[in-house]
Amino acid sequence: MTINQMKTIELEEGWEFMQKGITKLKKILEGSPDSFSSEEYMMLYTVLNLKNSTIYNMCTQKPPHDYSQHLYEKYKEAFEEYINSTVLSSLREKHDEFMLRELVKRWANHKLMVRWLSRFFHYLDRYFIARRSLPALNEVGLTCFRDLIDQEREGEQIDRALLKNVLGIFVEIGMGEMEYYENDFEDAMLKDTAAYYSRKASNWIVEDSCPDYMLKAEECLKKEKDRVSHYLHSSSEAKLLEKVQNELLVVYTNQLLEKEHSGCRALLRDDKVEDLSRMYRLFHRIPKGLEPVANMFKQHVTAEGMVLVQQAEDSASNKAESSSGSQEQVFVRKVIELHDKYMAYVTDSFANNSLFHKALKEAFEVFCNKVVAGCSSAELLASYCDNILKKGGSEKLSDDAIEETLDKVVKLLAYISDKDLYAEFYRKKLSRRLLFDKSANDDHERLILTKLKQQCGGQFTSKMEGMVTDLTLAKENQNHFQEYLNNNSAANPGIDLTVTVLTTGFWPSYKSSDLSLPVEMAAALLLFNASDRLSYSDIKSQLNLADDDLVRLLQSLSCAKYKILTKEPSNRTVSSTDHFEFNSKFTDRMRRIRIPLPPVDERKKVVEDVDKDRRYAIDACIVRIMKSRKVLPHQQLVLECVEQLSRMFKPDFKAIKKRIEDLITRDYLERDKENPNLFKYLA
Amino acid sequence: MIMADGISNLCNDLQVNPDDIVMLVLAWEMRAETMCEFSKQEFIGGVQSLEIDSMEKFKKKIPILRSQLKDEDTFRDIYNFAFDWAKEKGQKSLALETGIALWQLLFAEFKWPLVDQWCQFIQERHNKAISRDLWLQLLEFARTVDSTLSNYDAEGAWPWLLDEFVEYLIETGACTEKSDE
Repeated sequence: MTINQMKTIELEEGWEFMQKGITKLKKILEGSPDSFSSEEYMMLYTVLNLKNSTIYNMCTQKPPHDYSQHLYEKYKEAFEEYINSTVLSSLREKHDEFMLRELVKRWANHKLMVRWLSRFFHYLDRYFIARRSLPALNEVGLTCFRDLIDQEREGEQIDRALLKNVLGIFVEIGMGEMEYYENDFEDAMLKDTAAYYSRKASNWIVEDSCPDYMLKAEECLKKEKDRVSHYLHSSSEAKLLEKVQNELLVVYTNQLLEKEHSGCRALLRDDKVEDLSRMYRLFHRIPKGLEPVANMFKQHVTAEGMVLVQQAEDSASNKAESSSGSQEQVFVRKVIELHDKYMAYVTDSFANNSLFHKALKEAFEVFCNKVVAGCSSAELLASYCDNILKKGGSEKLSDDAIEETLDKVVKLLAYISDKDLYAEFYRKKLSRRLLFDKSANDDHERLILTKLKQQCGGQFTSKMEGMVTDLTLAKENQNHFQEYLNNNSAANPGIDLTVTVLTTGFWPSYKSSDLSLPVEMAAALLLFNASDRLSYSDIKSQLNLADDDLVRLLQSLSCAKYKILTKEPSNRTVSSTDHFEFNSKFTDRMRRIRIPLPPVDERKKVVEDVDKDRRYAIDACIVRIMKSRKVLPHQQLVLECVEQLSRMFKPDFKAIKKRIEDLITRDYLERDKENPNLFKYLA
Repeated sequence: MIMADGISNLCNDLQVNPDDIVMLVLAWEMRAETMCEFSKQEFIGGVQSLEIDSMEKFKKKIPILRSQLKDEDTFRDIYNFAFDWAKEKGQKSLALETGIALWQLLFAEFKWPLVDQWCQFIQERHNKAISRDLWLQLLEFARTVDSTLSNYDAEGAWPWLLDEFVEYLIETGACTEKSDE
């Protein structure tokens, strides 16, 4: 470059020089390429190179000869003139798709022209943006464009490449900023989309079943996603999908889920796992979208569970006697099956989403804490375990199956608030299994204790573990003793001696005597010392017992395995018109017989024991909390107490209040003088 | 030591019924430790601080003592005082009968509309001695919870017997449950 001619160049002079170049350029753009010779190219480039220096000079001259501003204006004029006269007119001649094709071609030209001109105006480079010429052009293009997208939505074939190119224009105009794309195209496109799907959805929601509707919605979302990847800008994806979701799903959530014969409830009822998965996929992207689904899931599972409770209740009242034991087994087994089934829903259809785990938990907590046929579920679970673990239990299962079942029982225990009650019943049954050598398998006993320990903590199982250990040690000692006897025949006592040492405190306590009878039973039998035959009403008036207690008592004496009393008529139920007689012919080959106690008594005692333990637990808990906090408002104390104790049981507020007041009486706590809602710890 | 007979004589001289609440106020003024008893020290100290040196002055003091019950804080002091004063020595709680008699006396003065229902409830459903906490909190309850229970808060720290009392009132139809909330 030769930039040594330092003479001042006037504006007109310089522009005229450049005008030639621009005209030449326009010709090239408009003209057919084959009339283009290499010579002309060369000429052009030379001009361009010269221009560079010319313009540089024109811009760097001292004022008043700095023509930057003028040049920029001129440059813009040149562009506007070109676009308004040539480009726009040629665009206006065309329509629809063809118009868009022309637009793409023109844009390509435009880019070319800009590139070249930018060389002319090297120094003015940053001014070259010919923005203002374009909005007019946009508006023309946009309507056709949106119509095309709608056409595609309706399934017609369109030229995707064309659309992609046109949209490229919007992005490029923005020079890295998405403003033009967003304001001029995207906004309108999104509004259009919303309107389109709003129309569609309003029809579908009336005509289609919930599964069909979901299929359509899923398809639409997929197509919109494809659309973005084919020709829209990737930044539109989230916005576009959100619009579609809103129109198809959010607006109609309730209507869709509540559809009477095909909505969420029906899908759950008919086990439509695939549709439910689809429902999950559709709604999980929507903020709070899954909540109604999870809610219905919870209601459904609760209802199913309540059906089981009712069934157990019904069959218990139908067969009031004998087989009630196995009914309870059936109930627990069904609950386990129910849990398996819906846990699979949660993991498979609902992608392990925590909302559904919570719904499942809450549902099970509702019906697992119902009293079933007079038994708490804590007791039922303990009996169920007993049945699995004892010899000759009704369930014949393989080792693996037992392990799996125990696992499930322990999982169910998590839903039961009275865990301490379960522990007490379990301990009773365990002691019987161990002491009467009824336990089928040592490994299984230890296995369930490990599982219980994992879930409920060491305190929960410490006594039970102690019991099992006692027995293990006893067996070892017995073996040692036997060995000793074998080696020292002189020491042989000549009788069979078996000793089992039990640690105090681990085992439930039993009174023992030659004849052990509950008071009521003894009292009933004593009546027969005075007379041989008594009517039901005689016994009732003399014992002054309530009907249901008396029936239970007489049942075990006259209808069970050992008939101490004979009953008239001789059948298996006691009614108020029956007569009873002492059965003097009764014998048995065993030295010790056991007449099962009326079952409720033991249950009552267990419940009472647990109640007492709970009082201590609450006392200890309150004192522990207050000891560390010193001063605490009532509500917070109650809440912390519930929280700490919930591992074992759910204390009711009244029980906590009573314990607080008792502690006040015993001078562990006092109320604040000013604020009775505030408790203070008295050291 | 002035015992029951002496107090009865005193009442005669003062022309006051022994069941009159003013005798409780007097006991409170004299810081008496036990019901139906004044120790010499209590009595002498009491008349001195009340500036009584004649029967005439003593009689004139009676309406003044009575008027003190109108003051809310003094009433509370007297109410709280009554528990320790009336309970058997060495006991932590107050015998039910004594408690009910005192409540009727005190709440007639305080004009708590639910006092009859309360006494009935406590006999029917509790029928045991009264703890100090319950005694103190009952006045609080009578002071702050209105007789329609509209501002009763079941979540509050009321002793559980007061919660039961509220349930009892609703159960027996004496009050209706809050319909709002």
